[in-house]
Amino acid sequence: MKTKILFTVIAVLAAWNGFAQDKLFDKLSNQKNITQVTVSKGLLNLMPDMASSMDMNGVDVKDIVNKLEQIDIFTSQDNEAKKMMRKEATDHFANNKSYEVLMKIKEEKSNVIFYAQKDGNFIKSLVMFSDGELECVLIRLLGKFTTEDVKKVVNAK
Amino acid sequence: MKTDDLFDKIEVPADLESRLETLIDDLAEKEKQSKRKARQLRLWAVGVAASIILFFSAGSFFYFDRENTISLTAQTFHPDENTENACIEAQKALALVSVNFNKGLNQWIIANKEIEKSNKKLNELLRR
Repeated sequence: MKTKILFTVIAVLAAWNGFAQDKLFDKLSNQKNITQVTVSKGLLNLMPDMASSMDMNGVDVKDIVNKLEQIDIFTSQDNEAKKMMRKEATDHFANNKSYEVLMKIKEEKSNVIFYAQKDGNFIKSLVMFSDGELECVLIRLLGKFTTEDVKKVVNAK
Repeated sequence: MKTDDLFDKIEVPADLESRLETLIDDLAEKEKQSKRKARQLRLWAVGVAASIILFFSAGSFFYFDRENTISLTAQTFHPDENTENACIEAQKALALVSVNFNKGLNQWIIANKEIEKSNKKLNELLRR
């Protein structure tokens, strides 16, 4: 009986934890003036074939796309929407212990922060939040990959 | 023959009382055990039903939420018309992530080199 109760409690807690992690992205996808692009696994599987026919100098995505499950891109140039993205992203990652800050880059015209959720030596979720003068961009990569895979996209030798 | 005479003729075993007590105790114990088993079975059934309901609720939440995500993706990029556009957007996003990531790493490498240089100079000074 105690085992059954414990199992039920764990199932509920696991479900609640899942809900919390998607809250930020659900909120952003329901906002006006925020453009969302979600590329699923199905389309990512087509990319290596299409990437070779699309000329993008110095960008090699063939290795990383096989390791990705999904890419989410949220962008906005609207001031109110940018303010909202800034606030929601900051609050979400400050309160979310499962994400750690990988890197912060502060430049004259933009601030970029990288957050990651790790799974052993791999990254299962990498979020880049770029807050620039003209545009706010939030990109999430879901899958099982390493920082080397991310570096190689523009630094492939 | 009178009834009283009949009763006098019946032989009552000496340990009848204790045997009856034992029998009554056994019957009471058996009744208690069967009630306990019935209660345990009811609780188990309720637990299983509650677990099934919880799993179905959690599952249906994710199912309906996934449907919304799928339809949003379908609205954003129609596979037949916009596959190439979606691929281009994905490439751009990956390139942007990679450029910024490498920018940060390069700064870290430069900073590390400066730290090494300073450590070397400090060690030389300390040796004098």
